[in-house]
Amino acid sequence: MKFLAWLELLRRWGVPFLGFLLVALTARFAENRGDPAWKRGVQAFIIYGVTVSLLVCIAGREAWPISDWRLFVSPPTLPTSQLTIIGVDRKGTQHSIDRRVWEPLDAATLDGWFVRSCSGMSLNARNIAGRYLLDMANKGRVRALAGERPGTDSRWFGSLTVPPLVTYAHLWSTAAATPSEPFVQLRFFKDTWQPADRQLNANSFTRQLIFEYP
Amino acid sequence: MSLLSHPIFRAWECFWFAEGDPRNLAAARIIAAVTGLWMLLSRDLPAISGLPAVFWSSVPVETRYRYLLFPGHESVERMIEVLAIAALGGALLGIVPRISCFVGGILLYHLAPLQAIMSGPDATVYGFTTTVLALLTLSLAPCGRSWSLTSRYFGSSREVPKWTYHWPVRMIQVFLASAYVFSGYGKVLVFMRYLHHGAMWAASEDMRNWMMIFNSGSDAHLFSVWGLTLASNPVLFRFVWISIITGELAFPLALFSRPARKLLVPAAFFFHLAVLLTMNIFIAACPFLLVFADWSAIADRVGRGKTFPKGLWNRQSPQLGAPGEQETCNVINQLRTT
Repeated sequence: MKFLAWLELLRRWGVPFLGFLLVALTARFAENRGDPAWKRGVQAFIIYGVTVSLLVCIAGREAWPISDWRLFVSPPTLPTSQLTIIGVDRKGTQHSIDRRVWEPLDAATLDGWFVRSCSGMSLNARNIAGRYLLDMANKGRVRALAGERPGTDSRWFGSLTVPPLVTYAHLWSTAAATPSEPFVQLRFFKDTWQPADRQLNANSFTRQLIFEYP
Repeated sequence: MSLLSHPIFRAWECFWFAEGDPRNLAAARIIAAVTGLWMLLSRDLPAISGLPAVFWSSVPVETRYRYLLFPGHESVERMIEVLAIAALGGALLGIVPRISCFVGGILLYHLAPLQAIMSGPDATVYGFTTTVLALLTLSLAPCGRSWSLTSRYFGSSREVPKWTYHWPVRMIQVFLASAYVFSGYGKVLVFMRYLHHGAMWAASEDMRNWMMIFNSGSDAHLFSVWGLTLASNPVLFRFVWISIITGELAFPLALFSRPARKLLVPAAFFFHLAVLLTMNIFIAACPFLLVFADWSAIADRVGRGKTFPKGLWNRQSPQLGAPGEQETCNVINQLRTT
């Protein structure tokens, strides 16, 4: 068991990839010692790469970039829940926010961060995060009103930008669809629903306020 | 019979060390560089380092040291990003390609986890996984002998064995195939676990629930009609689910058989498109499937003025010449022709 614990520790510190680099450098230096040594170095690199990749995949423990590729193998938690951030303007009107405003944060990453961190954060820390996100939402809104994209990821490629991992509808695709009033508050809700129920009725979900700033 | 003449060793030798074409290796270099650049320039990764420290509070210390990522160093990360862009540009154009590939791979290893670091250390699905491994692999091979801006003037005149053009392409193909086969393997494990408890279709139901989740929620998704239609029909979904697992588990055949490659590689492209349309998930690494094409055949065809390449799919055929090599490759050839 101690051995497995050691292996787990090495994995978490990225040692499998360091080994990959070390074997690669060894193969590189072997190249200068003639073709047979070069081939032996390459063989060692192949054997290491394939073996570690196999071990990682079979064990199901990621050692990025050597991945276990276990995608969608765990059952979803039901009922499922998701973070929804709503902007509130001076008149008290609530607005859905185009998820691109959180760039460079990916929507899935922001949700994951909120779930992991929010309950353990102090009020002061929550306020710092809330202030920063409110600023991001308003900057994105201003960009969208100016006819630009609300996010920052598309600075080079425009519409050819790599889409985010999970794609959402572009709510603020035109200035007319973008809230004209600045947001003065953000509300963070946890929406919970049964997928099968919501498939029949889009309003079949519960909404719980987790936090609001300010 | 010596150990080295054992069929397994001969098959190993033929699989990895057959004679290759420098153009296929150059194509792999260009595909890796273009994919890396496309991803890198489509994200503002250094800005994540500049987020307030509170966003970094849940990042474990080992993850920070593993990737050497720390909050509050946006300007340093911006410089690293510029270096990475330069290195990938070098790899793309073939300017000091091996060093460019190595530097690009290392810097992407550092930068890529920024995408996911707030929610965990695993950046598998964010697009850089195969790119990092491919660039580091290419740095060990003479990948600048063809389709390179500088090889004519500054390239090494040293003769290299032709197997050096072959094994890196093979390695990248194996990394790609492992993504599919182990994705299928994971699903089979879950299926077996449920089957043990008498719930034969529970794994399919899990996947169906995932599909419904990725098509529902308070924020509208880009596509939802296809996914919800498919998820609403459990029997049809089971058929699709079985087809996906079968395709994933069969993908390694593309490494050995040309007909399988003709079927499985386009099927994989179609699969990624279907995942986008039904689950709203975009897999950015799908351009890597192009390493299965026979770029030397395409270049020959285009060079002769025939724009439709008949031999599109990478044969990875050894140039058999020396006595005994024909026999050496029989194991692979039999697999290829069946």
